[in-house]
Amino acid sequence: MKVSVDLQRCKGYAACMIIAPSIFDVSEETNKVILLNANPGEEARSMVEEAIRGCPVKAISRVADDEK
Amino acid sequence: MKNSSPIVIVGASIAGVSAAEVLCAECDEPILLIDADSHEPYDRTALSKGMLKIVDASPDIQIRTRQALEAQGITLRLGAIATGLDIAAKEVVLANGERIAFSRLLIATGASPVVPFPVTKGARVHVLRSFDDASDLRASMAPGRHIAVIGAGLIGCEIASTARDCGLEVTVITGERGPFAQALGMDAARFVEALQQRAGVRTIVDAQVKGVRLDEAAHIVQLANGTEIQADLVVAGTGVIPSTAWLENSPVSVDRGVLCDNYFRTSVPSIYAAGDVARWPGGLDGALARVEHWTSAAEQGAAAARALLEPERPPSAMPLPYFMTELHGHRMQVVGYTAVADENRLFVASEGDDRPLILYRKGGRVIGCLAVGRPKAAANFNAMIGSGGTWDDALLLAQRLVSTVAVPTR
Repeated sequence: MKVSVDLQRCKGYAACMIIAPSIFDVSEETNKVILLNANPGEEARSMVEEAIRGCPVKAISRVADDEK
Repeated sequence: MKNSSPIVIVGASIAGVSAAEVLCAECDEPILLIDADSHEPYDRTALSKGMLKIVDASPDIQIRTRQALEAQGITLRLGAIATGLDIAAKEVVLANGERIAFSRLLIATGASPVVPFPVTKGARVHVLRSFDDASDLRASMAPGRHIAVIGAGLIGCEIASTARDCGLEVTVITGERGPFAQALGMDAARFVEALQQRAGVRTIVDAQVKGVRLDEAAHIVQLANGTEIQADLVVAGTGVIPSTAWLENSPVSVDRGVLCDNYFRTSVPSIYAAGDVARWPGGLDGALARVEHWTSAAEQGAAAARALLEPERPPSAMPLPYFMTELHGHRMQVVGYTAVADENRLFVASEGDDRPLILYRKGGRVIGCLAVGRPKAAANFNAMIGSGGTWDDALLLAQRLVSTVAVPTR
């Protein structure tokens, strides 16, 4: 699964990092998300989906597997 | 066995939209999402944050466009005000008399602002819950005007911060001992009040508002001690009540919210509830609570959808209550059950540190954390609280994260 983040949209809510700290970090300097793992395994799917729902500004998306 | 009536979701904010999308991904039944609001689903958390600052254009605060929902096969109906529920017929009754049949129902009607003091005729007390509320308030927020903000919880403090950024004179009035005192304790209250003072906001604490009246063009906020505060505009962030009036004559059990279990099932089979309207075992140790924050609402909607489709599945694990706010340039993250703590402990690197960390204790456990400018700390404590971490371990971690520790006076 491929995950992407949109830094223009990111407002530093940090919900993604609270939900999935192994995949998302938030810079204390820029308050923007840092993608730690852009290709998490299938076992992380529900966590990634939760992070996508948990982001109020829709800065996270999952790239469909066939678009890799 | 397929029912021809759709799964109906009443309320198209984040809980309702999340539920609709999970339903859509996991079943091929028709899904109808309705809302009383006339705007496409939007992010309410943005209303008191960025939206009030943008004067000329509507910012992009949509959760999903109608087009995006319809592309998934979800039908969206706006301006549809639910006024009743007919359980026998399995129908939602709308204000225009129309009836909408459902196979199963998710109640996600959220909550409505409460103004707990009288407002005389002609005076206007703004509230902030909907897109239209925010547009109205924004239109009145000209630089140099004086805004009185009644209530110093999340909404009140965010409005105060945004209004100050926009160049207004701001007075915050709260009945509590300080901003967020009840929800986050006195250490947080002192920190936020200091931020407000530094930003030029006047904060009046322990003040009971008796009413708001109009005197010529000015609004007068009357306090119980006789003080009168004159302002150009007044906004109340004085809490909400769950929007359950439409369920009054139905058998769905309501007690300070729609009562639900861990599966977000209400007292009536095939009817679920999620989001701000739901009172479910989401408090500390499964206490009944309403959790009025974005990430929780999103997961409540998703969990209700999964339970609705597969009643046999064990209940979904739910995240801790979490919110982020930015006040006067300081980002604050709060996780856990801060309001029910026995004690809280403040950690600062030095006197006047503007990145404090506050931990919350219940018995021998850490149950909450407030971190300013420290997102990693908030994530660390979220994990620790979620796994039942001890207070001692939490203190050690806090000491490691905040180099110098100010222990309360012995």
